[in-house]
Amino acid sequence: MEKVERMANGKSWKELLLDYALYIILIIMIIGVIVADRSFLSMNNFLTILAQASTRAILALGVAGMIVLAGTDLSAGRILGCGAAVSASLLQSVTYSSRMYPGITEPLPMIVPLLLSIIVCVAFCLLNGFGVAKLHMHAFIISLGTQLIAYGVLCLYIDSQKGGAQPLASLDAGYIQLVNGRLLGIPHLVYFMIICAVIMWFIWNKTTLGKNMFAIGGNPEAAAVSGVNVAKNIMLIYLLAGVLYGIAAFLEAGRIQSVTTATGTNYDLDAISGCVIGGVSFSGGVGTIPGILIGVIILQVINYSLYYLGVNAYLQYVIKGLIIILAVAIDVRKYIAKK
Amino acid sequence: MKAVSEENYVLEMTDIEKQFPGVKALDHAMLKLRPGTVHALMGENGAGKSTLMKCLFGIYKQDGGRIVIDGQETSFSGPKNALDNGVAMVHQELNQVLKRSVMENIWLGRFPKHYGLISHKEMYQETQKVFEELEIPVNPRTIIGKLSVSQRQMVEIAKAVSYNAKILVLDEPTSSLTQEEVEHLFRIINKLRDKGVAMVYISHKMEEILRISDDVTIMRDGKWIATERAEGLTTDKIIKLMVGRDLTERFPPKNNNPSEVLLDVKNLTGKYMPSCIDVSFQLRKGEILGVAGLVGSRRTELLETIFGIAHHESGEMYMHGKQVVNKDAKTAIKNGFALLTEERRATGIFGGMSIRFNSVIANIKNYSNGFWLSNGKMKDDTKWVIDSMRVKTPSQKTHIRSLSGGNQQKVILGRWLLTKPEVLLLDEPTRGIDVGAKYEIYQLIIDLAHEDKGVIVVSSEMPELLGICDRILVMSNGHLAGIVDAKQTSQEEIMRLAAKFV
Amino acid sequence: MSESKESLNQEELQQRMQELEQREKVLEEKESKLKKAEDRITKAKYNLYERIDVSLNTMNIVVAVISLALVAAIVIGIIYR
Repeated sequence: MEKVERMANGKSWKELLLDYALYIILIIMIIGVIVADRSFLSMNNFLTILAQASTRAILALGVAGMIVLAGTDLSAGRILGCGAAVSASLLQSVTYSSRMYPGITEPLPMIVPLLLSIIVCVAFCLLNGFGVAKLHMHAFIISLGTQLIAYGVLCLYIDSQKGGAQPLASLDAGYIQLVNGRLLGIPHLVYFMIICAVIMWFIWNKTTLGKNMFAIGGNPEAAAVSGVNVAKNIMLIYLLAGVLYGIAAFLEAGRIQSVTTATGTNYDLDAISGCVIGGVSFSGGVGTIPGILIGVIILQVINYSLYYLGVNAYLQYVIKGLIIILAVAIDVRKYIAKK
Repeated sequence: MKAVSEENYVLEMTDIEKQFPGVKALDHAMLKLRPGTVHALMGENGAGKSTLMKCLFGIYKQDGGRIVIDGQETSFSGPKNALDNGVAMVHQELNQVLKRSVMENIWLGRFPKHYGLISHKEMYQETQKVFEELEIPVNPRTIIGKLSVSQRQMVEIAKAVSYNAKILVLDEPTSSLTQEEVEHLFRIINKLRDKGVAMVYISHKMEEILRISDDVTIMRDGKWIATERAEGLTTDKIIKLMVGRDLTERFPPKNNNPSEVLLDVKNLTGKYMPSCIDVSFQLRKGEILGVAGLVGSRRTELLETIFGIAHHESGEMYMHGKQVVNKDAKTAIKNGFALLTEERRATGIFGGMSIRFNSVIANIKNYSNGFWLSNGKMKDDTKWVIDSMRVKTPSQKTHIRSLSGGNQQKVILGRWLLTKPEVLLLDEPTRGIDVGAKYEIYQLIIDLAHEDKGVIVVSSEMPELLGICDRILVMSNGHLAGIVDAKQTSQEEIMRLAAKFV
Repeated sequence: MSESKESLNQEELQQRMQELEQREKVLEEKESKLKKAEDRITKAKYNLYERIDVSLNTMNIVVAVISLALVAAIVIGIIYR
């Protein structure tokens, strides 16, 4: 009987090792970096990392909704690219002669590009949502399609400049300051990230939409027979994601200060990895907001560490790929273990 | 049609038609429900009982017929519509979000709110109120996936009751409940009946039906057959109405003789919980050993662990005195074991393949000539399967899917016999098979025992176990609760044992 | 019970069996079609993980292997920069 108790209560060390394999490796790596170079451990570095993570965190907050619904979104990165292009193109410095809209001679109120970015991103997301909610397509498939459409639109947009395709750069000073400035020593981006996280926490935990999302992700039949309008709720989650993508896109354009057709490439993989590391399971119905933030930040620390250590750029791709595969493998293993 | 006296009905479903592609699920089905009564709805698998209720509840839209509630013609657009209008349902498949708490599951779709935000406090209090009134000792904050299946079923019932509906449909509400919990449920039903709630009770457990219901409606093939007052009915009458003819004998005569011990199982515990725990028993040659227990008692896991497709943590097995370790299906087959799974459609038949394929597949190595497979041998073996199992089929090449369930089951049984097993593990071998055709399967099982094989049969139908087994092993929540002699035990004793560790 | 069996004509038994078979087949078809139709209507989404049919042991090995590969990649990256 004792053997059974051990199984029910605690797990063998082998199990624990596998469950937390990813965290263990990453923490060892971080410790390794700190040991190699103590200057890594500075407040400035930390804040820089947080700022870099901010836009990805906001993107992740959006993608997380889809993962909780037992789906995914591979188009997030390209959609962000579109939103960023819209934001940047409308906020180029009025003194820049090759700006996209020479007709703009006074800096636009920033709320306008922000709203337009949101509208564009919401449009793409609703396309995904429609496919999933009404056509019962798998999110994976439809987002693959949307990803290409968004990329095409992005390229067309950038190409439509009078001088041909060129990076959307030389942005308005006020815009750059809004995005990259600091308040009380902390980057604005970090504040934006925290505000979005708090609002999302409320939505996930304190509103009907949030509860419905977890129910639909956990067991769509149960939700349906309890009277939940499954299709409507799915569309709302996608719409919410679109809003978050729009905000992230607006901020990212201001952060990197140059938007090209390559902007947004693979951002979705980072967002998804961050979510899975943070405990959002592909099996659906599981996830927490703090988990997502932590996951994204950990991933950003890894990115930064690898760069800091001078690891070959191509090898970094390999490592990041292995990380996402490992995170999903651990998730799958947990799901099977529970069955 | 025997007239139920003219009075007000709270629910009248008349001439309901429902067509699915290729099958007519409901054909002039009818149900008339009097207020403040329990109306049982009975019939075999596929009779249309659940379909009829799903039309009522708005999950399906009927193609024809009328639904009249309290004199008003209604047609619910969906579950939410039904719930809002006083019709609630306890579903057969527990539709619960396992990773969320009990209270979230209960209030899903109608969360209590304060200024637009969900109030967890109110949710907790409301849930406590419902649980206290129904005397259910479950903590509302527990994650529902952690409860036992019977507790989950009680929660599902509580959820439906909490809608304060005037019409409550219960679809197989006692499938996972212990005897005590069934009594508890009946207390709740009686309370509701006194309050004037009208209930539709779908079940195939005749003793329960006769105890709790006022009226009984029987359906067959989607058609209404009869509605009678419960007081005038007996089990035999109900069977006759359900099946349409007299059943003079349900079980074939037993002519098997259990002899020496064939398989000795000692302290078998599955590796990944939930599974069987510390189970020990012996199976004799020529014996039919039944395995009884409630849903969730881990009977299937026991078979899977014996067969080796579920890993074991501890315990040993001995066949003819020598230790055997079934580390996977291949080894198990070599050691002389065979496993007929519970869901033949999912894990038994190769639906798109012919009978020949389905017959020879487990034995395929024996047909190999080094390079290719011997067609002649495969044909011969398939013929043996068809003849000895008495499979009704025009040819060996027929697709197995076009056979009836009973015949499919026979092919799978035949498949296993080709591997010349000594121990046969049968998991619910007659599930989903017509009452009359079950007889043939029983005959085959008894024949196998007569040939000195050892047969272990898991079944949820106690009359079946009592009818064909020599001894019955009772599982309770993964533990072995007891082994009884089939000729000397009773359904009550088995039920008692089944509840021992719950 | 066994006496009444002898009294039944062999032919009648055959006929009864045939009838039973027919009915059984029809019922089976109905049940499977019903289930399919039901699934189409009530299943709004498809859980990606439901199709995975791997054993826990295999997953343990997979996780272990990928972890080692990851560590190897990181170490290589640090050494050869």
